Amino acid sequence: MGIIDIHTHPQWQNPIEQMTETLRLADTLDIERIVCLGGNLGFGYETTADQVRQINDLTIRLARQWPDRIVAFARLNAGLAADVVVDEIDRCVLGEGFRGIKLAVWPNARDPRVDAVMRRAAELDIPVLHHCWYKTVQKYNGESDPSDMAHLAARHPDVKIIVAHLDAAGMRGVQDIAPYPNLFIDTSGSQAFSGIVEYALEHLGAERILFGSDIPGRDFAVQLGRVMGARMTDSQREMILSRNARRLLKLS
Amino acid sequence: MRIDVNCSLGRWPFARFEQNTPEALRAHLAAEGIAQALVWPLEAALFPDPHVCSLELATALRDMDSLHAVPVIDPTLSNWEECLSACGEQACVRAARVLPNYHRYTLADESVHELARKLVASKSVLMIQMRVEDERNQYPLMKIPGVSVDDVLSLTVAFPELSILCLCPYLGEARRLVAESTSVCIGTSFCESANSLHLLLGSMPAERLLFGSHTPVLYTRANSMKLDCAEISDEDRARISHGNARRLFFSRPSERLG
Repeated sequence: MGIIDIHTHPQWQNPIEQMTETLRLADTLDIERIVCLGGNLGFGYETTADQVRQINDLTIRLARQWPDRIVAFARLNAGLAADVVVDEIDRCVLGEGFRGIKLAVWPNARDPRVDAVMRRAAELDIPVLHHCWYKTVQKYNGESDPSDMAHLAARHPDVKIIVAHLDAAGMRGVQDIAPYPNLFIDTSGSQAFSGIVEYALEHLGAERILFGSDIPGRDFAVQLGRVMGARMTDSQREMILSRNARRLLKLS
Repeated sequence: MRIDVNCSLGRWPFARFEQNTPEALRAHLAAEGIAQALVWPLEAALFPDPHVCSLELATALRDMDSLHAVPVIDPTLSNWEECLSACGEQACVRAARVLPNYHRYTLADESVHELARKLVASKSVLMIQMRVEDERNQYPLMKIPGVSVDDVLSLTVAFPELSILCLCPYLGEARRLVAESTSVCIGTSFCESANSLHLLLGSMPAERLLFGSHTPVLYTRANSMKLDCAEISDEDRARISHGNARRLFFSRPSERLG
């Protein structure tokens, strides 16, 4: 079973060297492919159209260099004009074979401007991975939480949405997303706080949980340890580490 | 022979743990390859008199060879010396743990200095709980900030002979604590980045790092894998896994606590 990591970012300084190192580390843990969600390259979250293109240009470069290892997602700012956003989706997905879309901190998932992205995702039948966190402190402007994800899922039931950061969703977040079968969740987040994986298994089912590390801010080994250390069957673990992502990303 | 310097036992209002008895914790740690553990009473973080919890834990673990109770001391309470003494009677490790931000004092408090003097005299270790949870994920009505790194460093200046072990510092905090002191060691549980321990050893000697899983608050396996998979030398892995803990807690002749 080759592991698929649904949540990684490139480094913006020395990106080729850094990605070489990331993939070398992935090899040591049987991580076969990583989903590259783009990074903000120091631009912050309210990025301009030009900055969005720069971010995705880097992902294109990395995906071309490692086509068998990197699955590319287009990182977007849904707050930009709809035609600009859709053009960027098409450039990345139709032109470069990207397999999904990443929406980051801004704007909030309830913002109607996000709908243009979701409509195009539905037309192209690709998943959207959305940053999400129930934060007590240090909340960013516009940052979405799981209740916002539920709102988005209800507006777009035909789009598969991967909610980032199970750890940060917590039990309330799991309950928020449970009623919406088009919502999935990745296991990344903070330190590996115990119990939440088992709780998600009970209330969402293994088929809606995907392994994500959030490297390079996190450690592959620690984030894998969250899944390896949680109580579940071998079949559930295989779904979380590999099978669910393969199905969602249409990988062989 | 792995030694875990950061385990706890007890209830926590915001999570449910399966390892909620001494035997369950012992069996769980043994299954994870951990032979010895220093254990603190988790309930002491929120209980009005944490010394009640410390004494209960000391009694509960008295006959266990592999779990060693470390009392949580609140030096602003009048009974702290009594608790330290009573727990010291039963303990085989010489240490006291403080949670300044949960107990609403700072490390600059005179009462902490009194505790520090006592620990220096008995050649015991002061274990500072920098945090229990990621502040971002705390219950919204209970916001407990992390302990100030500056306060820890000031304490090292006031008490250069005091051995300090900081538990649950973030990676950046750990680097600063080690770079700006000679007496602070670090528990590994909250230090994380790509290839965490390899990265940390680029800026500090392995002698300053001790394996701590923060079980059962964190998945034990997460920190075990952090150490097992780390691209570091076998010698450094052994130091972090058990060598440093053995040196700090088990091998030194010491005066009786309290």
